[in-house]
Formats: sequence, C-alpha cells, structure tokens
Amino acid sequence: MQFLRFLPILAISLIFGQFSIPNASAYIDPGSGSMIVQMLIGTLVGVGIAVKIYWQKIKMKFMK
Amino acid sequence: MTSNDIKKLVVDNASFRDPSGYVIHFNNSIYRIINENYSTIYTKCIESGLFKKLVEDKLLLNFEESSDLGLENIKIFKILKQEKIQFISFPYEWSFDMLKDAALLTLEIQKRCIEFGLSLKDASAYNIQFHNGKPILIDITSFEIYHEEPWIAYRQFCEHFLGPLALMAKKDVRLSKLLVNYIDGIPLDIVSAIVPKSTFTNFGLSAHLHAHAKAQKRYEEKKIEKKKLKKFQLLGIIESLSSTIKNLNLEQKTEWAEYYKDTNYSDEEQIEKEEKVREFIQKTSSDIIVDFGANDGKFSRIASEKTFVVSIDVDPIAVNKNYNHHDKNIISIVGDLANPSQSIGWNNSERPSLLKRIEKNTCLALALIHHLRITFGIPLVKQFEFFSSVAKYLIIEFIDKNDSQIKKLLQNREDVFEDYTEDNFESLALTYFEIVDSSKIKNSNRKMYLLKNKTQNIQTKD
Repeated sequence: MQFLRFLPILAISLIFGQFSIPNASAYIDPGSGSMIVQMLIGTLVGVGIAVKIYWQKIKMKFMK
Repeated sequence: MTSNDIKKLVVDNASFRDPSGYVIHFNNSIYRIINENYSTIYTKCIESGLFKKLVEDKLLLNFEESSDLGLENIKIFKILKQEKIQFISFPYEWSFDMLKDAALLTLEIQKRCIEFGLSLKDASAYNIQFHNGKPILIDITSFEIYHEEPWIAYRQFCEHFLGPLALMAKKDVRLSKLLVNYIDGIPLDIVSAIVPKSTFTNFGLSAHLHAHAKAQKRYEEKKIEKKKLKKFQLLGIIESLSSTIKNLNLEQKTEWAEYYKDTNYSDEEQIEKEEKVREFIQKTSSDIIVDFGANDGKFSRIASEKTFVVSIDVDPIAVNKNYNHHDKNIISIVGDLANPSQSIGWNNSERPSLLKRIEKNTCLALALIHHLRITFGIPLVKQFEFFSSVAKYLIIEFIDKNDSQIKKLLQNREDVFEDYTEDNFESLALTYFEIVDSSKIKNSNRKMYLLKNKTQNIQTKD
C-alpha cells in the first residue's frame, strides 16, 4: 500500500490544535496513539471524498 | 424497604469503573443506578429520542424507571429496572460470528447516536450481551455528549473487537482464548505481530490495526493536544471499521463441524433418539436446560421447545453454526468441560465462572461421556461427581465400546478404560441419581437414561 510510505511523514506533520473541554463521565483512556491514528485516517477520509468528487467531475467531462 | 431488604441488594462485581452509574442485583432482577453526575447526558438520551429508537430497534436492552428499591440519595439521579438477560456470557466464550455481530452492533449504535448529538464513551465487549439470539447493548451509561474530536472509545473498540476478530479470521479461530487473559482487549501490538503479512494489503487492517499498534508505541507517554475531527471524518472511520469487520470471515473447518454428516446414525436411530430426548425432557423441570457437548445444537433445539437452553461445546466452529440459527430460546457458547472458564477479573470475581452461572438445572449429556473418558481422560466416577453438582435432572447417553465411533477413537491406542462399561455406568449413576427411565435405541449400541438427582445438596422444584 503506497500510502504507508507516507505514514511517518504525515504523522509528524499533523498540526496540533487546541484542547477540547474534557468530558467528566469519560473514564477510559483514549490512548494518545489512538487519537493520532484517527486524525490520520480522518485526513484520508477527507482526501478520499475529495478524490471521489473530483473523479465524478472527470467522468462527467468524458461523458459529454 | 426494610433493612433486611437492603442487605440483599448486591452491587454487581464488575460494575465499578464507570462513575456515571452502576448495576444492582435485587430480588432476581437487575437495576441500573444513574448517578447525579450523569443526569444531563441521561436526559438528553431520553429527550432526543435516542433511547426510544435504540430500544425499538432492539439495539438497546429495554428498561423502565423504577421505585422498587426505595433508595434515596443525593448522588442518585434515577433508578432503572432492566429486562433480564437469560444467561450472562462473556466475549471469551463467544464464537466468531457472535463477536463479529457484537462489533457491528457497537458501530451501528455509534453511527446512530452521533446523529442525536451523542457518542459512545466506551466500546467494551462486556457492554454487549446476547438476548433472543442476537447481541444487544446493556450499558445505559455508555453515552457522552458528542464533540467533533477523536472517538474516545476507538482504542477500546480495536482491542476488544477488531484485533480478536482479525486473529480468529486471519490466523486461528482458537486465538479468541487470549481474551481470557487480556480482559480489557488484546493489545494491538500482539495482534499485529501474529496476523499474517498478507493483512498489510488490507487497508482497514493496515490502518486500524498495524498503523494503530505502531502509533500506540510511538506516542505512548506523549501528551498531545486534541485536534478537531469533523463529523464526516468520524463517520468515515466508523464506516471503514465496519466494512473491515464485515469482510472478516472464518475459513476453518474443525473435526466436529461435519460431525452429523459423518456419524454412524441411521435415519431411524436419529429420529428415535430425538423422540426419546423430547419425551425425557417433558418429565423434567428447571429454569434452564444446559446442553453439554451440544455440537451444532441439534438437541438444544429440541430442548428449547420446553425452556431456555445454554448450549456448550468445545468446538468453536460447531458453536458458530449453532449461533447462526439465531434461536430466541438458545444461547450457544464455547466451553471446555475439562477446563471450564474460571472466575476472572479484579479479585477473581468480576466475571463469574461458567459453573457458577449454570447453577443446578436439567442437563443433557448426549454422545459426550465417551469423549470425556477416552479423549479427555476423565474417569466415569469423576464425571458423575461433576454431574451431581450441576444437574437436578440428567439426560445422559451411554454408548458401548462396540460402537464404530468409539472404535475409531481407540484404533491407535490401548484400551485402558476398564471403568467404561454399562454396569459400572449404572452403578455410578445410582450413587447420586435415581434412574427415572432408560431406553436402548433399537439396533444400536446406544442407551438413553433419564436420571433425577437424589443427593441432599440439590433442591428439586417438583
């Protein structure tokens, strides 16, 4: 999988935002690595959707 | 409530980690205390319609507000009475599809509650139980207000569900046993190290398992500030987890899976045995029927005509086949009679042992004792000692050594099983039981018995 090559780079280059307000009833440890991975995969989801929309546009152009 | 009643209130031994509430056992019913600190979230769950929808769709166990306990305390916001689960079971006893269905249920609930402005704050497999043949969420205080940030329960979900399922599907179904020792889910680095390299070609497993395991190690003691994770991104992650899990399937065939094809029963023998079992069961009475060595549940289904059945077998493939019938009156679990699951967790009392949970009921021991004797080396005297401690009634089959299946078991070994004779069987049975009825299956080496426990430590209800 090609994207794996970019994993370390992407992980390091994540921009850290602000703390959100902690939830008083949330008692389990979310895991710092787990949060990083979600943000990483979340970025890919964003990219994936952008690619999908872009792909539809290309398809429509070719169909004309 | 008298002070005597208050003494009978027992807080569930596993219900202590979550500050939002806890479970109480009283009068053979289950109550859930909602603490004051959870009032806002609970109210939102009710008023948004989330709970109503989840209960309607049978994703959340039904409950109602209750004043049975008469407890008053400024810390208590509400007391709920929950529908009773017929038999409590644990993830390390579940077959592959049971764990898979429980995982998909968790994700479905998370997907839905986001739309109501809520989110699951934990994703432990112990929040799920099996009810009427399907998984259901029992933990009402599992919710928190949704914020656009990484899912707090993602790690727990991967360790309780994704990892174990990947091990079972990609390496060996028996690896679910690791869940006994890893009570809070199997660490992802272990899973990552065991699953075959071919899993790297699977996007979902590469991301949620391998990359996740690596990230856990790398960021272990680092403080990180949470970034925003937009709703569509979280939904994308949930969808990815869901499709990854949907694509995990069992491939193995074990020795018992094809048992009913390979047995030496003729059709007439099969039908006669089924009728006998049905007839004997009618003469018994108990809360549940426990089918030991149930295989794929053929006789459990007959027993379930009378009452709720707990189907136990050592073969995970057979248990899986049984589960996939989704019988409302049966729960099928993986269990080894020669080494039944012990009480585990904090103080060895969070998750009670199998034997504690089956208590004393009607038991089926069909085509079982010769396996316990020959394959597992348990002498008949010890077997009867065991059965007398768990069976009010025992429907048991004796198969003599002339049977072709037994001959097969003995073909490469010396027959040292001198105690395994019909006479000795009956004499041992009479030590603990009275023989209510017995019947030889025509033209076979099999004899069925209906035994009633006569020892003092059993209270029979009739």
